Amino acid sequence: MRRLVIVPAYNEAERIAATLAELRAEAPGWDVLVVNDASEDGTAALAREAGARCLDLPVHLGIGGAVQAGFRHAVDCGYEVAVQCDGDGQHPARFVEAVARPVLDGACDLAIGSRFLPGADGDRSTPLRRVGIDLLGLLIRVLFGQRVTDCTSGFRAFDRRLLRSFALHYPLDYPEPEVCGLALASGLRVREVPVAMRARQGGRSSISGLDGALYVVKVGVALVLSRLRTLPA
Amino acid sequence: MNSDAAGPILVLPVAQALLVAGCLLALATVVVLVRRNRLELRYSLLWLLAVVAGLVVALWPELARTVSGLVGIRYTFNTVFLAVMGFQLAVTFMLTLAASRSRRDRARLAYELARLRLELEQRGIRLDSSPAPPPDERRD
Repeated sequence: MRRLVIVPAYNEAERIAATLAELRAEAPGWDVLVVNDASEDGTAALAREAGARCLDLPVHLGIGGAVQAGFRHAVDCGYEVAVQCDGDGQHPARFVEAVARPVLDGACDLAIGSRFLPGADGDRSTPLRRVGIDLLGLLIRVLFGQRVTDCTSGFRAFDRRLLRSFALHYPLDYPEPEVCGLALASGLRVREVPVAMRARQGGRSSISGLDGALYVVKVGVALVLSRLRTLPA
Repeated sequence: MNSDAAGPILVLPVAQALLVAGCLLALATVVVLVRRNRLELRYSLLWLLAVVAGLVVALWPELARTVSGLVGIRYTFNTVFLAVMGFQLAVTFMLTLAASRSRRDRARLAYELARLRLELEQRGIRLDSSPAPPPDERRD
């Protein structure tokens, strides 16, 4: 089975080489694709020097567009499973296999690496962020009747069906929680896997400060709307 | 509401003349921009419609009063404001539709370009392009 790790990277020059080295050492059997989202700090060159395949976007698309480019590539190249793993070192490569396991076993379509499940003894984000994550988790539970402890996690595995569907259409803004909603609304199986994440080591989060409240509102609306949509087969 | 309650509107010849002049200026602007290929025809139709509506109201203010009476709005200028606001909302909506579509197209094109670059690279051809310009809006 062909497996791909998609590493979206925007201005991750400080961390990208280490992330790639770690992937090579701790996720053998996985091809790696860096999606450089028009970084201005030479991330693409560093990724190539590190020997990675690099999809070099000519314009900045944001996390949704970058990850979708990775999905498109995965579909075009015939990959059957893909894991999204951030380029900033938050997602330890040794969990790639664990996150993908339920998808590889055919037990689910979307697997999410969760910081909050029992057994995940890593960085657990800030208290304020956890409030937001819990609120969105509650909304998912109300809307879809399933418990998702870490819907904002960007460490996740997708099966072929989802890859094909997301290659066609993927949310461009704050995609993570909405993707949970879309998958559940389409009757697909979503599972969580405990992972120990690291605190952010380089770069900056795309969401910070007061934007957090706005994020919860926007994503909340997106979740409610996702209840009314189904993914293309 | 009876139509007698509709107040006077645009009875001043000066106001009428100004409105007509404004409409004609807008018309000329739209025509010039279309001729220079700076405004797409599909969007120009919208503005031509607005100009025609403005001219009608300017030349036959009675019409606006009659419409007010029909829909039961007491003051005629409220009818005009309502129509203008409705028009603006419709335009904004159309623009957000167009923006959504072009964002999707842009993501698709960016991917296709990146993929071509990667394919060439794998065949030993390296396209060195100019560095990405700093975008003016990051959270897009």
